[in-house]
Amino acid sequence: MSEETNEEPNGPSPSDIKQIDEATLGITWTDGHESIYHVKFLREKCPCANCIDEWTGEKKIKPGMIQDTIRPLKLKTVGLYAVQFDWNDGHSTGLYPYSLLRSLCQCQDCKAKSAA
Amino acid sequence: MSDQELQVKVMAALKTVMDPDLHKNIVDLGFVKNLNIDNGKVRFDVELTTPACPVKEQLKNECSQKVGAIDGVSEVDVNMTAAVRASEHSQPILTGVKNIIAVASGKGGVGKSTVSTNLAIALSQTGAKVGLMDGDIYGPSIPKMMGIPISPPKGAGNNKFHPHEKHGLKVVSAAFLTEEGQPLMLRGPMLGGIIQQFLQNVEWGELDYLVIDLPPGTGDVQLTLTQRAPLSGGVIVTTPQQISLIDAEKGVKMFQQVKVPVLGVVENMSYFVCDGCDKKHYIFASGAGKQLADQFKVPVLGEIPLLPDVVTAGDSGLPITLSQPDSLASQAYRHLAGQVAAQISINQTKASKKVGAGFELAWKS
Repeated sequence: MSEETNEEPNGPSPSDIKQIDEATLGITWTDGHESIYHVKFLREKCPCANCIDEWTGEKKIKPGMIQDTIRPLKLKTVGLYAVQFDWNDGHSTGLYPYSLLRSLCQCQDCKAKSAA
Repeated sequence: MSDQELQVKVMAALKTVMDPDLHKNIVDLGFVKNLNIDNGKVRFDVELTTPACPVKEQLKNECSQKVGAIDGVSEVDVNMTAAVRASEHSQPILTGVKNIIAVASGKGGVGKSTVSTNLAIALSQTGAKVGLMDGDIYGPSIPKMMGIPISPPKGAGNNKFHPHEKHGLKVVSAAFLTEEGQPLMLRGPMLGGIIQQFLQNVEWGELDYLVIDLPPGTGDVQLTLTQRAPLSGGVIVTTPQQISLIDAEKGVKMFQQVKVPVLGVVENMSYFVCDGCDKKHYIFASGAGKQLADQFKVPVLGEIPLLPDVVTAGDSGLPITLSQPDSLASQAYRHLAGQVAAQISINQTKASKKVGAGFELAWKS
């Protein structure tokens, strides 16, 4: 990982972030890759200390806990390294670093790779 | 030859003048401005991206030589100017500030404040408008080094306040928020609050460079700054010993994790020159700065000598770059300022399109 990322030591950054449809977020990266995400999946992967226990690493979000109606109200960048979502269930404490978002990519290629 | 024909030749000649840092010719970079030719007399401006450009004289000479060599040119007048370009940021705070430089080290006691102060002065000596923010809330030392008496900042209305001004710099420090000598006793979250105020509630005005002197470590102040302020780059200060590398590495990795470009490494207390001979004595072994720079593939921006005068100057409130502009240390600081400014300009020209800080997207349902 570190060898190929000469330009950006901690991986690529988004060059565009957009809403694709009612429940899908799209990110285009500086290396040209295009990621798609189902927003419910992103909410389930929230990395904040309420959703993943800081000490034990236990996931507090159990399958089925997040409703299908979950949507962001708005999202914004934090500094130069992360995205913060305001969700319609009132949650907003998760900062998603770009490296995490990239590893969560739901495009066919990346899904196949992470399943392998 | 008509002046029009001459103009074509002059532009062609200037197209062969390369900026050694940006690796492009100065015409394509848009540096050449206000070309005026009158009866063989050629006048033009070369507008650099920073007044601290380390190769200013070299470029000027090359321009006059190449243009002067054209048949029909009787006189060349090259006027070197600078317009500092803003690093990309759209955050509503610090809108008048073009570039923000964070000076960090993992370790304490390596001379961050001395480096920050003299770097800021050296930048301003090139003609740039510079601010200096003392990010060390618990141990602020910038006011002492700058010779600014402790007094509360002046209010500017609308909940804002004016920075102190001294030696041509605008200065903000937590030292001004307490009685002299009184400790500020705060828990972590308050630190972030004070930094937020320094960013949001200070009337910085128009600045080319804001230098931020960070406290040691990777804590609240660093996090708030990287989350709230659109930093153009970080400078890592280390000393020559291997032991200071352990923490300096963490400083570099902190910037990398939050995607702030690391401009390079400064090795402070690099060598000692005694008054008896001109030999550089590397009393703390040498090379930690170079080693760190190589490891992370960033440049060594400068090596600052260890001189008693640097300390005396800092204690007296008149930093070495002002009190003894010809000293070896001052020369090293001027070189450092040039390198820092050059790295920022290089990063700006090669920056790919990115979603900036302050990006927001409202979801449509």
